[in-house]
Amino acid sequence: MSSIPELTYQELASVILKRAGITVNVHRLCHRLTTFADIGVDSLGMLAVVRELEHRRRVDLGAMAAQDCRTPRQLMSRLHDAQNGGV
Amino acid sequence: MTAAAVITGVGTVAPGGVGTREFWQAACAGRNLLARITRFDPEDNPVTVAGEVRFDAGALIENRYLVQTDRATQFGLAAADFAMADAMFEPPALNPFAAGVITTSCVGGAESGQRGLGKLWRYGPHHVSPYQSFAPCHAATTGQVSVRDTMKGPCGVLVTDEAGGLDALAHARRAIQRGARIMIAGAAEAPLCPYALAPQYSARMLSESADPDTAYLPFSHGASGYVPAEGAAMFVVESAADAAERGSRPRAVIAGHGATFSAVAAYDPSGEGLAMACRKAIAAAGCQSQDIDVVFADATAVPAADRAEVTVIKSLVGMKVPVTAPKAGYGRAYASASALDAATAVLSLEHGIIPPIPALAEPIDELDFVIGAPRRAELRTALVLARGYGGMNSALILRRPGH
Repeated sequence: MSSIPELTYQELASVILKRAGITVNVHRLCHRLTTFADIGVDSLGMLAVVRELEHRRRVDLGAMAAQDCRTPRQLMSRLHDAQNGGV
Repeated sequence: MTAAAVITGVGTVAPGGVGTREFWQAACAGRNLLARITRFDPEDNPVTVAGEVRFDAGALIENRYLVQTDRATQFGLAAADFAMADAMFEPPALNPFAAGVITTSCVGGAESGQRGLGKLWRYGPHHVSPYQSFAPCHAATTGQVSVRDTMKGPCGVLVTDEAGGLDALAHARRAIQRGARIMIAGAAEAPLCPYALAPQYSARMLSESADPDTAYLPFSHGASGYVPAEGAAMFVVESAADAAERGSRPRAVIAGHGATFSAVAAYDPSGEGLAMACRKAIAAAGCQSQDIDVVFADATAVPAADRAEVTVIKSLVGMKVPVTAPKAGYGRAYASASALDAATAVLSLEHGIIPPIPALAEPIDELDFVIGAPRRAELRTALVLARGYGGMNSALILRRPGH
């Protein structure tokens, strides 16, 4: 499977802005060491972001997605897996 | 001798203006700011007139707080900002554990609650925002101010309807006397949505007049209930010693407070509970009723409650003390109504000006009502009255510093 294109990170950035109210640079967002805590998304903000992604992509990321995915990269990977047939 | 608690900052968000200076100018102008409700289509509602705030939330509230808060909390956050700027206080405090927040609200985040319920029933549980877990709560404003401004000390929430705006200041004073160094105290309300108003219709306390000019006429023979309003007032409260050390200017001393609970009717028609609250406040302030220079009335425009209040004022201070109710111009904003009255009282003491009741053609009594135009007066001591639906009575005495 090919790596997730940057366009999706762009979309993640817009979801984070819409649901957590935080503006984040896409380059920072897709850096492998960046965590959601680094950019200021707290646990509740994570729930809101995950819920929005689930609605947009019509997938179930699993009950623990907001806790498990500490980095945008982990969340994107979880989304990728879900879209390609189950978590 | 306990430490004197002083108000060093005042912040207001009201139909007359967002910002304390704008609010004060509007109150003094004595214009009627009531109008047909625009926040929702009131066509099928018995209440169609209200006092609405023109509020640019995006310009005043940081985005991350905007997405997770009700309009009431946004008012509270903005008013807290204004109050802190007024007090020249920039959070965090030196010791965040000695800084606290106490807010009050009657309606809480009802508009958020309404939105969440709509999504729940229309689309299902997966469409309800996680922020729904706290945005509609009465505690949300205290919580968000505490989080945003790193106030980790004594925090609390009061729900006593309109009396709350005064009770919160009394609570802040107690916290200061128990060792807190700085308190943010006040009220925030955004009740102009069907979900908040509908449960109130059966009590028939709200004015059902569609004419903004005559909808809210407290102490008048034409009184037919009050017009609801939205808004917030927040204060910075600290000890006189701390204020002096910080170099901030004490605006008013929280001299005394009294509260009672009559629980006999919507508003105690005898006025006994309110009278007792006044006596307690006067005793706590260590003054006499003849020291009171101005009364800010609760002014429900519910005829029995107006008569009770007139009786209490007359028996307490007689006929010669000016009585005002600027809220007749912008509406009764539940807990924020009394907090806005307290803000007006602070500014009155400071400027020596009493803002008026905009119009009072046929007064029910010969009390010295301030009508139509602001009045200049030498003011040292102000009495603010408030009653909550169900029997809460509260009286607050504010004094000009150095008197």
